[in-house]
Amino acid sequence: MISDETNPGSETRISLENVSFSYGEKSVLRNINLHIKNGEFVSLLGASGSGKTTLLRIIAGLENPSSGTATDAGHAITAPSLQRSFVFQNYSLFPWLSLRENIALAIKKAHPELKRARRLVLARRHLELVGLADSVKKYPFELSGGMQQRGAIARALALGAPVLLMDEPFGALDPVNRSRLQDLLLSVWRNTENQRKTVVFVTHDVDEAILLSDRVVMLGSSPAGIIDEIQIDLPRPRSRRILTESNEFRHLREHVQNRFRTEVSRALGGIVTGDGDAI
Amino acid sequence: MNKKIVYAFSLRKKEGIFFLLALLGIWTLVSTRFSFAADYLFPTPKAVAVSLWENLPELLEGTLSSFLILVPAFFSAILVGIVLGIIAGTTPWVNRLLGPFSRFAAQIPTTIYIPYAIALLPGFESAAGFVIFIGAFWPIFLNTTTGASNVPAHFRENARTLELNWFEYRAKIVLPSALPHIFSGLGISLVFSFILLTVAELFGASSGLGRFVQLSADYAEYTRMVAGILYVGVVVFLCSAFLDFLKHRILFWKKL
Repeated sequence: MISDETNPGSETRISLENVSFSYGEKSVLRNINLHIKNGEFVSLLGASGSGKTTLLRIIAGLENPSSGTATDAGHAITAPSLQRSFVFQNYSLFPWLSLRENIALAIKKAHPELKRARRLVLARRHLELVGLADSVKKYPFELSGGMQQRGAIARALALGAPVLLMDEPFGALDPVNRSRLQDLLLSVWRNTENQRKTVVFVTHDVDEAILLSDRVVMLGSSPAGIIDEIQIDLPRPRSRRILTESNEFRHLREHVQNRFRTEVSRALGGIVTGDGDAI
Repeated sequence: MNKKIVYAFSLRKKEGIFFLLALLGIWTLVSTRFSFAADYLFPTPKAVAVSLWENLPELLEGTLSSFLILVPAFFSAILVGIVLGIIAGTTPWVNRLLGPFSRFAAQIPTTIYIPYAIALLPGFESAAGFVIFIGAFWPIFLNTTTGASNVPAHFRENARTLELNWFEYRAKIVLPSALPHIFSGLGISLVFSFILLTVAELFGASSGLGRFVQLSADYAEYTRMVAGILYVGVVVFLCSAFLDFLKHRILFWKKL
């Protein structure tokens, strides 16, 4: 039940073919095949150590696969690019620059032709967009974790990259801030002018993955690889309250959790434990 | 190390002030009641204070003459040290190239260069300036190199995702990130500079703070000499305090 409005384009934006990655002897990812469409919101869901962050870093170009290929719009990914902005769990903002200067630095890279005054105006506008209008001149150490992540989202938007890569961006936030930022992310993603951004979102939170995504990609550990993918056809715009009470949502959540439980017991050789990790 | 030097001078704590007053008391007591040393060798605080006041114009003149040597040498050491340190810290082959040499050269006590520098270079000022430059350069260079080669991974990766170019990366990321290390180096360099300046002036200056003290010794005017030593202490203290102030201003974003 995908409404036309949210239907991602048919063109593939990010493509991973037989991607494997190892740190020395230790195999982190094995034979990953993943294709992400233009404008699609995909979550990589997995426990700690499932290699989901490594997978995101490969898409970013921060790591190169040990074998296999990663491409963005048909071009091999070998290094980070302004085409793909990255939101880190922490430290997306440089502590020695004010919020506005952080955003302005991103704008300077994305639009070198703009004058400094213009960059500062644009920076302020992006900060207003994420609700930080009153904090433009503040420094990261003066901001709460939630405000810092708002700043990180503003910076990613200011870069204007078609692909947005997010590494557990709300993982360190309290539940209230976390849900506020999820809503914010969805609203800026929906309201992107021109073309909707392609988002790859790493999380270990099942509800978060279902709430945000068009598709949830589940990663298992040892051997690390994709164990399942589910399409989330819940209508958009999504409201957390209505959604979490719906049967469809509960059904999806149960499905994901069962899938992981089976995976954990399989990995442990049939011994069924409680919940493996945060999932 | 810098922190220790600076905090040693900190007058913010009551205990520290009490200790200074106690020292002054002991000094007064010893110099007035127990004349085990000849009076002229161990003057009273009062005599020293009077001498300090009387000699203040000459000391200020000496400060000016000393600073004319110290300031250019110290600031060029800062500039060269930071620029080379950032290049060495971010360019592995440069670091490998300079590593063995700097590990060797930085170990040589800089005071040992003074007679050679005086023989080699025209004029006392250039010799003293050269020695101060060398002495101030190493702590800044080595600390900057350490800071620049230890930029945390999350800042490096963040910079990579922004596609910062060679210069932007060094100016906007490496330099601020290395600043805490750089300030450590600056603190050591500042103290070194004063040591080298005053020692050099004992050798061959015609004016300056070290010369003032040396001259007092030549004429056996020990009250004047103690006044000069205390005065130099105050000058170094003020410079260190100013550096500390700058450090807290510039590194406001870091919890110190």
